Amino acid sequence: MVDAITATNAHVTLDVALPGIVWGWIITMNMWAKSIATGVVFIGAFMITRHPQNTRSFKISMPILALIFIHITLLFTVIDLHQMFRFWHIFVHPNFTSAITVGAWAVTGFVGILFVMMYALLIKKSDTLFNMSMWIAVILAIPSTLYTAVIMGESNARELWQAPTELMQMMLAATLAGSATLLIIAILAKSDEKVQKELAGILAISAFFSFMMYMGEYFFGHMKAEDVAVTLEAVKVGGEYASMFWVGQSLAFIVPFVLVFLSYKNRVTSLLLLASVLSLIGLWITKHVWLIIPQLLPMS
Amino acid sequence: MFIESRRNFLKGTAVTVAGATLAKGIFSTIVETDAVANGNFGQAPTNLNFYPPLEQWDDFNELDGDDWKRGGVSRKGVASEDNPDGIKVNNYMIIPTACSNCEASCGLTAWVDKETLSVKKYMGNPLHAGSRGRNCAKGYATQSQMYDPDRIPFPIKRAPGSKRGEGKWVRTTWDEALQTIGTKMRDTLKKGDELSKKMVMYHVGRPNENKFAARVWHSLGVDAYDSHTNICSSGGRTGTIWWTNDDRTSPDWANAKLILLISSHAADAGHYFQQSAGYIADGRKKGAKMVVVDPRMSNSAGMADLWIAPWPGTEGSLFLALCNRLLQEDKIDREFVRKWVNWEIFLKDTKYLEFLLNMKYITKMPKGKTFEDFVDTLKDLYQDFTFEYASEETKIPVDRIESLYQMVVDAGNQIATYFWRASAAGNRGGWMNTGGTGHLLLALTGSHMTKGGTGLHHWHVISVGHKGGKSTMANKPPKVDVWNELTFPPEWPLSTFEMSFLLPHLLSDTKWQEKWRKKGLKVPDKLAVWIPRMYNPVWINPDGFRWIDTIKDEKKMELTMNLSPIWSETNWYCDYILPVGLAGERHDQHSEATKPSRWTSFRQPVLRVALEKMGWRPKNPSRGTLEAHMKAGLGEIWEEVEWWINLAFYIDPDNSLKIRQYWESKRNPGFPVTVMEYFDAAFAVLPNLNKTAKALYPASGFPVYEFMRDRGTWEEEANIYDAQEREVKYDKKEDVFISHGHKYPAKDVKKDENDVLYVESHGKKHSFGVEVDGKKFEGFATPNKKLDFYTDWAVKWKWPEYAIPFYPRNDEEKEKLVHIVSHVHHKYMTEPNAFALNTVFRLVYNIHTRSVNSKHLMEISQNHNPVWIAPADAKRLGFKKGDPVKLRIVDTVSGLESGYFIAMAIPTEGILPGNLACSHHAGRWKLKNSVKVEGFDKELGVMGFGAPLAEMSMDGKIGKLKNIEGIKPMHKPWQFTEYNKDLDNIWWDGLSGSWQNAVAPAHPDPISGMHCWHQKVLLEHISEGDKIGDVFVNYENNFKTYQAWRDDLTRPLDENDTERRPRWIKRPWVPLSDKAYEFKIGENANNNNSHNNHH
Amino acid sequence: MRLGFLVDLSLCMGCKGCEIACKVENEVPISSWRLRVKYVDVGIFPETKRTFTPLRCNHCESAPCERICPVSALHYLDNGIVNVDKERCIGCAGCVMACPYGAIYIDPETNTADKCTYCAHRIETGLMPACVVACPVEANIFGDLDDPKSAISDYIMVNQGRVDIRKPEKNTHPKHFYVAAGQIHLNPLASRREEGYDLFNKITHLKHIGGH
Ligand SMILES: Nc1nc2c(c(=O)[nH]1)N[C@H]1C(S)=C(S)[C@@H](COP(=O)(O)OP(=O)(O)OC[C@H]3O[C@@H](n4cnc5c(=O)[nH]c(N)nc54)[C@H](O)[C@@H]3O)O[C@H]1N2
Ligand SMILES: Nc1nc2c(c(=O)[nH]1)N[C@H]1C(S)=C(S)[C@@H](COP(=O)(O)OP(=O)(O)OC[C@H]3O[C@@H](n4cnc5c(=O)[nH]c(N)nc54)[C@H](O)[C@@H]3O)O[C@H]1N2
Ligand code: SF4
Ligand code: SF4
Ligand code: SF4
Ligand code: SF4
Ligand code: SF4
Ligand SMILES: [Mo]
Repeated sequence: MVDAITATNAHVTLDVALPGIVWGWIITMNMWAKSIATGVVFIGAFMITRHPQNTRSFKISMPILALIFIHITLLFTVIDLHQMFRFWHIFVHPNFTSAITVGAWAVTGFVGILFVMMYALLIKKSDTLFNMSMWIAVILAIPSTLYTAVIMGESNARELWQAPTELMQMMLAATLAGSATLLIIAILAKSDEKVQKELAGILAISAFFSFMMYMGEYFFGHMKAEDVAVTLEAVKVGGEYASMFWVGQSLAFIVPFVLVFLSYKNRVTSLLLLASVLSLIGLWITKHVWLIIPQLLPMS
Repeated sequence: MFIESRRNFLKGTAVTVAGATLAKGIFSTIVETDAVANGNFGQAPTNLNFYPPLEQWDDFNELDGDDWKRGGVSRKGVASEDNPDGIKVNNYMIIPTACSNCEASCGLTAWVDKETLSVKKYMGNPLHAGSRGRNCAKGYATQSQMYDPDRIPFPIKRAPGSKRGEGKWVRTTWDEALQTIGTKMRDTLKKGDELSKKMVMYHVGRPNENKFAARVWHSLGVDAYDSHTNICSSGGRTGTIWWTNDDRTSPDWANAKLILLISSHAADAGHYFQQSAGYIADGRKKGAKMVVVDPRMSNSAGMADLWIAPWPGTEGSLFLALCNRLLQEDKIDREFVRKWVNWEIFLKDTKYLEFLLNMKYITKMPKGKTFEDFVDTLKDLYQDFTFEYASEETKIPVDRIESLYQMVVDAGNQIATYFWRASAAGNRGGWMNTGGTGHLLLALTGSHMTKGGTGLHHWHVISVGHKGGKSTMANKPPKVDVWNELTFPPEWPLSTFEMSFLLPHLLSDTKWQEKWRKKGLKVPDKLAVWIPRMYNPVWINPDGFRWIDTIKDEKKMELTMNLSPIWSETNWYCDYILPVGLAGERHDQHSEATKPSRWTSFRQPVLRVALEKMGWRPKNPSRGTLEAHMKAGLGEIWEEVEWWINLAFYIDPDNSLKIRQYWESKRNPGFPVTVMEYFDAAFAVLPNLNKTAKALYPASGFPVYEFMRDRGTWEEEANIYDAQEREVKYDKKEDVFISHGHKYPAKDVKKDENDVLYVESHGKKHSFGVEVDGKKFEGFATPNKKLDFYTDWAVKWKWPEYAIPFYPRNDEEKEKLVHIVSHVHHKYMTEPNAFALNTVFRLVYNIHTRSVNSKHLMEISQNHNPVWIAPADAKRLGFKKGDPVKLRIVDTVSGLESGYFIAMAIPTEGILPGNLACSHHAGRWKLKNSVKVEGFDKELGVMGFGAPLAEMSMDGKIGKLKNIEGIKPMHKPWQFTEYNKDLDNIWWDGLSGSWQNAVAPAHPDPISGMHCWHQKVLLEHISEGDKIGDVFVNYENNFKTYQAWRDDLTRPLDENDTERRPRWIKRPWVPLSDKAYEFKIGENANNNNSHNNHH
Repeated sequence: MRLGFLVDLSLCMGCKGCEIACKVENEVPISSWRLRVKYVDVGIFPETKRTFTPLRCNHCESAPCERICPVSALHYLDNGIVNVDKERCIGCAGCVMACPYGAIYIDPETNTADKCTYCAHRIETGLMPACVVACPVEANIFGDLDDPKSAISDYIMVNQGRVDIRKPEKNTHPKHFYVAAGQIHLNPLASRREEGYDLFNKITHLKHIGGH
């Protein structure tokens, strides 16, 4: 189409002002915090199950972190609503074809079960209840983390997001964020090196796959549809979001991957700490770029 | 609802109507006012109407569009007593009126919400024969203009002790204004001498009414009517007047085969914009081709079948080339030309033919006096106008001229065109380049007056606004006895309309005044009263600083009052601002020639009509509109018609000046005539309307008024074609000939050597028909009743070389025929950065300077007017999109420089290289953001969403303007608050416009009198500190430029002349007596001179 | 009943009558539009053209906006209109993300979603949409697609082969048609839309409205 435009010299000479970015950093915050919240549950449950002895600190920190971050998610979800005091409409007038509705209900369930975990842990002090609720939490974390991808899939206007890869990206974002967060806890709590290593491994693998998928979009996305091609112009050389995109990719994926690799070689835990922090920052940036760029296109 | 805030300040006047007693008066229709009636609403209507039927207009229920947003009826139901949460239903009274935003006078209906007495919307009027229920953006904007938060709410006047332009105002009353202004006029008029009859001046923009105001000045016996026309369309009319003695063409777009636009009627503007656009679309649906001849790609050009971009002012060569080819290929409509063109008169005038031979227009004298000889002479005359020549002259590629020619041939006698502004308004000699030569093409193809061809104005228009005299004590005032040199100076005896744009120049040009005084004319050096109306001369005319200088001068203008609903650059400098009503707030009879039929609109104050239909009555019946507007909470808004009628009583309270009698009710002697009485009488002049109205309102005292009140429009006659072939009838019984409805006793009727039928009265010949092939026809409006290929009278009036359609063929002729060579012709573009600047075009959603009071129109346009430039030119000079550029205006007659303005460059493929274009809608300014008025606690905002704040300086020679602050969001304006709650979302700053007219010097065309708008400019990079919007003017130079155009180019009246101007071309507004027409200077005038008691 | 719209682009002349008629009828606030008319200039002098495209909601038969709306503020009426309910709407802007035609916006006055409703309130009153009434050249045809005798059905029939919709690949099944449309009318990516002042006004985006 770019060539066609050169040939036709077609350009807009009169138009109304269009709305700018509608879903902005608040939605990024939402997605980012949700990745952490659900990620710590996924990874936490996994680690707790694999290393029941060495992950005591996770048992308490996992539900607390999940609760904190899922509440951050909720907070940003609600403040992004232009009518935030009407959020309850979702419960009394639900429309279940909407991933927003499904997500809201799932997250609500997820929050509920996290409280059950806390109850089991602190008041009931029941391992059975804790474990049971932990597995329910894991199950609920799946829709909680994936619904955003489905919302994006339902966002017919943003071709870029309308890909099954988006589901994988959401899952990988959760495992990346979850492993990074728990890794920080593990390092600070001076947990067993094995645990740290395994978490670092998950981090590196998540980073690797996520990065590969972004690169897939980057190099082949344009073949999918014209909108995607034009959208991706924003992150290609000279694009408005090119540097931000690469900063995000580097911090979230490339650098942590390298750091994990180096730390494996040199056994330096501080590198892992850095990798975790960077990957969390990078994830935010990456998500943000991906959220914004399709909103730059004129729809009509 | 949204008039709340107004109501608060007009305490006491805003009583809800529900309580008003429903007195049964002369009105048969009094409606119930309960707000919500039960309608039958449903999701699957069987029928979707464009408008409700007329029977329902007094009482129509419609769901509310805004309240619908709550989910609609399926979720909330319809509001009713049982369901207060339901979707609101508006109970409307639909009142017809007419749009006033351009002169098309399209029908409007105001949807008056009975509950709040506010106009919720204006839509079209489906009964209107011209506009067919449709409207453009500007029509719909009538509502936002009505509820403009910066409207002037009551009469104000310059604070005592302050100077004009200081911006100090006090609140006053309509009564005080009537008193002061009436007294001043009385004091002036009662002198009764010649000079005082020239010292009152009414200066009107687009009048949008048919001659009511003319009757005002006629009844005052003054030569006071100064129309804006010579900045508008004189050049466009001149060619048509010379050919047909009619004011303008009137095309039948809908049936045309070729729609030939030297204008932009199809999509931008043009007279009668949206009606024309509609009929053009109808024609195109039927297969008509559309060609647009325009150096700039207008929207019309952008969608045309063929866009042709000529160099401005060279169109004459194109028309003549087309004619030449038609002639050489024998493709002309011989029958039509033989019957209806005045070729016999031409061939008879041997002296003139010799003159043409001498001028080398023709190479040989015609062989004889037959029609064939005429055709041969035409072939000889135009043989040099080849397509190659035209191409070289116009810069249009030959193949495009060929394409156009083919379309011309294919169209037969169905070519519809309209000569109005465009080239005619932009260029010296523009009149010849459009109508002057264009009519030849129409005549040769036989397209005059045909179905699908080009008709003429006077057959298609209704003008009865001045004809309500039957309702007053005295019907028709006598002819006016004076001739005002300030409107028709002796330099321009053929000027089509008043030289109104020169008013400040003529008033300041004491040398000019002295010169003519010495010769015996009584030229005024000042005005006692100056009254602009619907006009913003300061901004809209060339040489704005000269205007400001003059109207600020209390010695030149003693008392000034602007009849204006809103702020403008002009009323800033006036003594009184009298807020009269907008389109839906006043009475006008208004008709325009938009199609081959005769229709009229009736503009009305809709809130008044609504109130009256509900039973309300004004206390003073001659002030009904004012009282109604106060009652409805609109403000102290009056209207012109009632104002003038009342003013007559203040000017002449005892009828001692014989003025009052023309405005005194016959029904109620001693009292001013009411609008109902007056317009009933005026409209009753139309026989078909009269008959129909009387049948429909048999019991009414004012059937015609009521008919027009309820419908707002009437079509008197449709399908008017070939009107020149209407036969002059002979009535055997009475032994009279009847032509145009007039009777001529057969015994008095004579026939002259050209077969013209005429009678004589007072030694003057009055022709009313012509015999062709033995039949008597009414013919055209020219003295010889045919189309004047040869305008014989132009010879006597000193312009023989232009008495036939012509265009210079070479450089030598361009020197000689300089009066019809554009002052921006390419031959003047000698510097590498010289350009012809096109200052003449409209944007479809803007109305000259009137868009600033509509939030909706401003949102589209944003006070933005860039300079269009061809990309190659921009590149050559190093300009990029968005760059500020300096445009230095230079005059090609005086060689003087006017100064410059700074604007934004936008490269576009939509312009002929070498040309620039800059529209005139934007670049508005104000010197204060708001005004504190003594006696009122709120500040009056000034053009809040349209004009940036500027700084100005002027010293009599140099004028400067600079923007200092852009437009800002408005938070809760005090006036019409609810309606304007969205103004906090204003998102434009309005800083990309420039007031280019201020820099432009006046360029009076030596013949038509048109101000020739285009400018030669030198395009430059800006200097440090220059900003878009900056204006720098040497208006002393501009004064010299006006003088140069006057002295180097005109052929003024002289000792040998005995008349001011030819009698047959109308002085358009008031009839003038022989005495007024008489012209005597030099030796003969010594007598006069000694009586010149001027000072 | 399936109400549909059709714009004949060979007639539209860009007057914006419809745009303002809509603003007035539906009290659409400054900075928002239910309907806009876009100008696109095409070509190189002297073969330059200007195109005009009125753009409004398509009332898709398979409307992604309706699907994504968590609270059914967007909902279908029986006559096929996709309606909005500002009292139900929570302002999540999901619909803004979902509508492939940019037809929905967040109204700055109500902070809720709004868009063209085909003037549903006028339909239920038995009147044509305001923008249809305005159009000086009758470029807008409105009516019942289920009724083979309606003006719109007839127009579609007569113009077979010249009738298009926007973005058919989105499978939204618009009930809004264009006659005589080209890529430049229908595909926003077929022209440049450069930020900044142009021939007629400022081509721009507004900061997102409504709180943040
Ligand atoms: N939208 C809108 N419509 C209006 C008005 C308005 O303010 N806004 N005003 C009304 C009024 S008062 C009038 S007088 C009419 C005027 O309407 P028109 O007679 O159509 O006149 P303009 O708009 O002045 O010019 C028409 C076209 O002429 C082109 N043009 C300029 N110079 C030349 C030239 O030298 N040669 C040729 N061939 N073309 C040239 C311009 O680029 C423009 O596109 O419009 C009326 N209608
Ligand atoms: N450069 C350039 N200059 C031009 C032109 C051009 O093409 N190029 N066009 C010229 C032409 S053709 C014309 S006709 C003139 C038009 O020039 P104007 O007639 O002066 O222009 P408007 O902006 O329509 O009218 C302005 C004033 O009318 C008053 N007004 C508005 N509405 C109403 C109302 O309802 N009632 C009353 N009583 N007053 C009202 C207000 O005071 C407003 O300021 O401009 C001319 N100037
Ligand atoms: S064409 Fe002129 S009169 Fe008609 S609606 Fe538009 S602005 Fe009003
Ligand atoms: S055009 Fe957009 S807003 Fe309209 S129905 Fe289709 S998806 Fe919804
Ligand atoms: S913004 Fe309103 S209408 Fe749009 S999806 Fe959200 S709740 Fe539904
Ligand atoms: S149908 Fe009604 S709401 Fe839709 S664009 Fe037209 S006027 Fe606006
Ligand atoms: S009103 Fe008609 S011609 Fe004007 S812009 Fe709208 S669709 Fe086009
Ligand atoms: Mo005009």
